[in-house]
Amino acid sequence: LDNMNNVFIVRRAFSTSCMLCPWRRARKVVLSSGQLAHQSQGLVFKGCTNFKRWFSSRTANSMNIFDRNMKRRQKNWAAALQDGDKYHYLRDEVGSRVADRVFDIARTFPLALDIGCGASHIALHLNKETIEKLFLMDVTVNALKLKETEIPTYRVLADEEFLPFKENTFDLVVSSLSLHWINDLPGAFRQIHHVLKPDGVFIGAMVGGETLYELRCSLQLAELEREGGFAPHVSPYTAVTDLGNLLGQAGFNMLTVDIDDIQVYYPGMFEVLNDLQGMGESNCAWNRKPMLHRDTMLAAAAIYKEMYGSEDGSVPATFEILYMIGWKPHESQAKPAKRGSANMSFGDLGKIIQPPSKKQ
Amino acid sequence: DGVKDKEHKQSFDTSLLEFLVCPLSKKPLRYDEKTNELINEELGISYPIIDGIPNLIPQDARMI
Repeated sequence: LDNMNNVFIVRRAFSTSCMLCPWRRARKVVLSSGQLAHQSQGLVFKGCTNFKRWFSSRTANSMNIFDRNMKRRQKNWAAALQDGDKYHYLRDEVGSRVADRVFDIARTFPLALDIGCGASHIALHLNKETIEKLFLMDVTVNALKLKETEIPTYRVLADEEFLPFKENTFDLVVSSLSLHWINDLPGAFRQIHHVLKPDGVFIGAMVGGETLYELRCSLQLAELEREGGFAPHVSPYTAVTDLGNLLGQAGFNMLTVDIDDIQVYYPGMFEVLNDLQGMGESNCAWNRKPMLHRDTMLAAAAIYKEMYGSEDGSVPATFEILYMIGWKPHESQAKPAKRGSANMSFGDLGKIIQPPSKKQ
Repeated sequence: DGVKDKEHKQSFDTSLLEFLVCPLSKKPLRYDEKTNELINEELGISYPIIDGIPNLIPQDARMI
């Protein structure tokens, strides 16, 4: 690239595309003459600066972005690694933060479910006083067998997209870093809602937003420069603004959504890629490229270091973790007061000196 | 390998049937002791159980 100006324009254009979430049919693959078109006519970028956007007609069940079988193979492979423990740092950290949120709720949960438990990352941070019985669920049998926990557990091999549980079964459903590979996220939320008991709570964490933007940009710039176009190497993530709506649509109420940025420093881009593979987080989008030229990789590593590297030579990788808490409605839950039931005007707010409870 | 032997002896805990349903039809499943499978009569499919862990992934189901 000629100058830094160019770089920033490209970044801005891409950050728009990064915001697209899976169910908006984000598929960017076509690489010809500086034009980048979405397969589903969702978006067309012409050159770098002027781009037009067409809203594609959204049809149900058209989302099929990720190759779920491939993801399962990757996770199985990662769970079978001899030294797999050394790649657990991110999941352990997020697992403990999810467990924190479980402890925030002053309750004992008789029956809980962990969706996509991996090596029991959440369960290891919980105790049997809070959770009396726990269902561990994952797509890989290797991961299910990795760790023992103090909580009595049942292990079930199942797909996050097809939950095999009865309606109104669980008091708590937790999930950590597994929902971002789901094709039909709204459907998955609906199923979670379905298996929860009324007044049951779902506490989840998923990567989203601008996760791995350093890697995304470096690879895109390097590919543009070396190969004249690029393919997506980092999957499209859910934007935090969409998450609340999705949960609401699935029937949850009293929603809490918050973001946590976790920055991990690595010696270089290749270590980032290696660790992602070790976590079982390799790309599994259907339109992934079968290979990346060594030349492009080296260029990407150089760009990564140049654009994002810190003074000591290490490079950061940002993981934006979206936490969500949603409750299945129950009549005992707090509700907004009936419309028109207020006995004070908002216009009088300025006149109130004492708290309203004392006035009554 | 001592750990593995222990796991092989694990049998299916039938109390799980209280919570499990077929992931496709969301209907109850029946446990078949002979074949060690979970069966959905309606759809005519069965899910394998390996080391006491039921495998309820639709792709792994077998047509009866």
